[in-house]
Amino acid sequence: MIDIQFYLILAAALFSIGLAIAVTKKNLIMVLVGIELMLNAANINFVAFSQGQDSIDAQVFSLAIMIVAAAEVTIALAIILKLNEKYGTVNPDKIDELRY
Amino acid sequence: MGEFLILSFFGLFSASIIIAGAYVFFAKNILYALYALMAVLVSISGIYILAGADFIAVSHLMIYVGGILILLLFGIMMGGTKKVRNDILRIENVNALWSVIVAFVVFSALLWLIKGSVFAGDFQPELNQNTVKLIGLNLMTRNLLILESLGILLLLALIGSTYLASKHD
Repeated sequence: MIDIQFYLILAAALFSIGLAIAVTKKNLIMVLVGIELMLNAANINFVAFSQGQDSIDAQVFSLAIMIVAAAEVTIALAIILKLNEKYGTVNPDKIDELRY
Repeated sequence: MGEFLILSFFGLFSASIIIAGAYVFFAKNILYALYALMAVLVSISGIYILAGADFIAVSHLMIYVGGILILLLFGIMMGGTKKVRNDILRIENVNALWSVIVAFVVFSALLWLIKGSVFAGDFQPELNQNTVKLIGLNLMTRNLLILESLGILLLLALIGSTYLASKHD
């Protein structure tokens, strides 16, 4: 069967890709996508370690991570749409005044 | 035979995750990047199924592909209507080479850590286990606080995003 280390290596690769996306992209929606990928990497680890265990707590935690991610995306998209309306850009380098 | 099938499906899903994730990084069009994100998310759901977490797989598919991805697509559709500057559709990369190097260093460090550690216990999926019943019982008895606090968090997110997105002066 599949070794646990394969899951961990896959999650590490996904985390690295998400990190690169979140750091590089100068578009707030793509930054959100990178954060989602990093959260998913954590989720893969939780599910991988929940295999064959007596308690199901790890899967409950991964469910919690998913719901937190959903809440985060809704709030962040509302903020991004407002920023786009106000400044006409979603580039975080160009939004450099804190005045409303 | 069954083992070979499981291993090959794991390889298929892993390759799909890595390749589509790299495409999200290198894509110049934000719509194509989000389509590649859909491939990543569906493949992650397949990985969950291989790990024996059926309820997590189905709810991942529902929440991410059916909820978050559609929300992101609606975000670029509603934000990209301004005639003057379509900045929301433009992807700009800053320090791409450096971030790839940093990500590679992080990945190598994690790989070294994973290769060097020994895990106690055998983590093999129990394929004929009903996780739906287990998770439901757990959420209603032992982990009730998690369920309640997540409900409050979702309510906060609902009210907050509605307030933020509404037009008020």
